[in-house]
Amino acid sequence: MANGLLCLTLLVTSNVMLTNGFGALGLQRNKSNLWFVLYNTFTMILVILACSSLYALAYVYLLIPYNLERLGILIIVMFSAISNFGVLEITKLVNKEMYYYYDATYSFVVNMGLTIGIMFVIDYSGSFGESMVYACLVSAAYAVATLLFAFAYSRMHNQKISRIFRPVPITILTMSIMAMIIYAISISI
Amino acid sequence: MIREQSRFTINPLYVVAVAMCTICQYVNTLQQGLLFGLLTAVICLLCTNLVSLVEKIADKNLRAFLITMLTAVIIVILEYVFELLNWEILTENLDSIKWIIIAVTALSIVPTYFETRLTTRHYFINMFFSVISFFVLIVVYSVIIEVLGFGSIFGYALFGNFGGFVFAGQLYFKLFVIALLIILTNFIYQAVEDRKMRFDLLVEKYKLNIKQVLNERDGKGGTL
Repeated sequence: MANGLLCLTLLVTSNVMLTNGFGALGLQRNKSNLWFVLYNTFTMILVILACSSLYALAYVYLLIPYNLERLGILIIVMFSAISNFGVLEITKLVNKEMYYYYDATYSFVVNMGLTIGIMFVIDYSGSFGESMVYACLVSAAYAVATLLFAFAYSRMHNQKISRIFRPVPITILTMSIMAMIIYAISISI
Repeated sequence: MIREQSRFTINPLYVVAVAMCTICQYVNTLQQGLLFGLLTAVICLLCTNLVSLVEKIADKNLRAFLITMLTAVIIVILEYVFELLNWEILTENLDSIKWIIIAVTALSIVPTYFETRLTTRHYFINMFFSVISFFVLIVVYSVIIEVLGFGSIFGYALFGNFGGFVFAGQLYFKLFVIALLIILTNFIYQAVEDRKMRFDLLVEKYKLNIKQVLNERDGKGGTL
């Protein structure tokens, strides 16, 4: 339990928090819609798990046997782009309102960048099962970080905050403070 | 007309901040700052200008994907080249240069999503300013981190035996430095934008005044 928590906090502190910074762009528009945040988080987790499992298989059966590890970057980019195109088209078909939010918050490019970043974080050097456990932990860390920020988004758009600070600079400041708190927790654990 | 088209509808500094966030963990020294800054700038300019050639046949999402894919191809080639060159600064950062892909994707959002129907020249000019500001900020950031983290600059000790603060290498401090840099540059950017707006309003006011004077002089037929 303690090890899992430590792993989670370390993940949130390190790269997921950074790649989440990429999502700060979404703050420009209606990211404060809670249903959209939940939908986006859910689809992102599905995308991360699908891409990670496919990439883990490709890594074990294609890249390592033929000594092509460096080409893994291209496969990661391809997988994340295809899966996010898939999410875009499904959203377009299923729910017009969600598609509006998806389009207005530039979610395709933001999610594609996030997927690539999160897949870079995952360690594929172990077995398929280990990689998937890692992917699940990273997905959980992503969900925690996103949902924590989702509740802060609307407050960051407050007109009382100087326009020099809002919304991206204050988001990065918040990320910095959150990273500091999580770092302190991980040290104490 | 050109000025109207090329004006940003998003603050480009926010995009620069997000691009910096993605690579800040791997930039600890001025050397790394120069390497990452230069690579990101050159690759970003190259890819966005190449993709601008298919601007009329590809939608914004496809263009974003093409830029990311092209960047990934260049990064893979660079990794092989760096491995062959075997220089210390390059081999040290061999595993982290892949993060440039996300920085380039972030930077390319401005021309891809906010600038439609522009020529390659406009893409180049718009990207040039974004990329230059990114490069300057990442260099300033790396100087701050190296001075505070190692007490040196370009490997040369500045304060004798002072080895730097431990917290300067931590993620939270790096994000804090980025936020401060962006707030500072945003202050300057907003002041310039306000001044531009005031100038535009003044020009409109004078145009109306001239029109009114002409109307009074020539009756209602006077035009500007």
